[in-house]
Amino acid sequence: MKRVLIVCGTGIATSTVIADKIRTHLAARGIDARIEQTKVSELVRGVSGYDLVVATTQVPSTVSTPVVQGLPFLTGVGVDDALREIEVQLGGTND
Amino acid sequence: VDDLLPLLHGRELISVRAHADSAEELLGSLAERLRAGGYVRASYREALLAREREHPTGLPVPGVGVAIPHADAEHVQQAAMAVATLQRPVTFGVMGDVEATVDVSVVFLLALDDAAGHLRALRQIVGFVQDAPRLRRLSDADSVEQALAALSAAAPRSATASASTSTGEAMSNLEAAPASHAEGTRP
Repeated sequence: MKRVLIVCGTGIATSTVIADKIRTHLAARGIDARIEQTKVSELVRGVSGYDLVVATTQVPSTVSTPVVQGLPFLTGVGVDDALREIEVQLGGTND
Repeated sequence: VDDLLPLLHGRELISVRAHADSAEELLGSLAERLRAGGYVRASYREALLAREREHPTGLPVPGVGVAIPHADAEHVQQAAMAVATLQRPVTFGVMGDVEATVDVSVVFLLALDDAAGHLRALRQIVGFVQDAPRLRRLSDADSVEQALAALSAAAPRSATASASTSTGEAMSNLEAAPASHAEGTRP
């Protein structure tokens, strides 16, 4: 089970919109992932236990987990590339 | 946009071809409008500007830059949304990128008092801005009537109107067509 953390300014609205889209895509690709959300201020201590962070805010340098930009899921531009990058970071289809 | 139209409270929260020299000036005047209508507290304006500095909300949508500024619920008295189109674009920071900016022509200013409502509104705005013809129609509007018509235009309907469920399933179909598919007829 891969773990993905979605990060935005509030941890509520923007991250939920993105989480919907990523969850749908990963399920369609047969990738088993748990998707959680948080707000960026929770990240100052760093994050551990996640395979990937998807963010619509600047992520603190204390975070060593790979980060993919969430912006494409809001603008619609570059969604395919972002999804591909997410898959690569999660190690591809592992069903 | 079933959930967005009530947030406009009629016409007074729509500005068409607004003049502003900066994002701050625009946000200040929109916040003032919300304040005058009794939708937000006096603290909203400063909270809005501070949040935009810390977490910019510009979205580089192709053709029409969009921003979705907002402030925390504690500054809101009654849920509302102000929409502005600009005579000349103003510069916003790009969401999630401290160095990038985007020339913004359409602003959706959210003043929402609960998380579920914020989420519903944001889902619909994201669907709207990814629907290039509808966004273009809004940005090209010459009057409040035309802007309202653009906002009211039928979205590709696949989700139910029962948006009161805040979980993802019911709404995940509400996404508009991706921009690359948006030319010509809608699906």
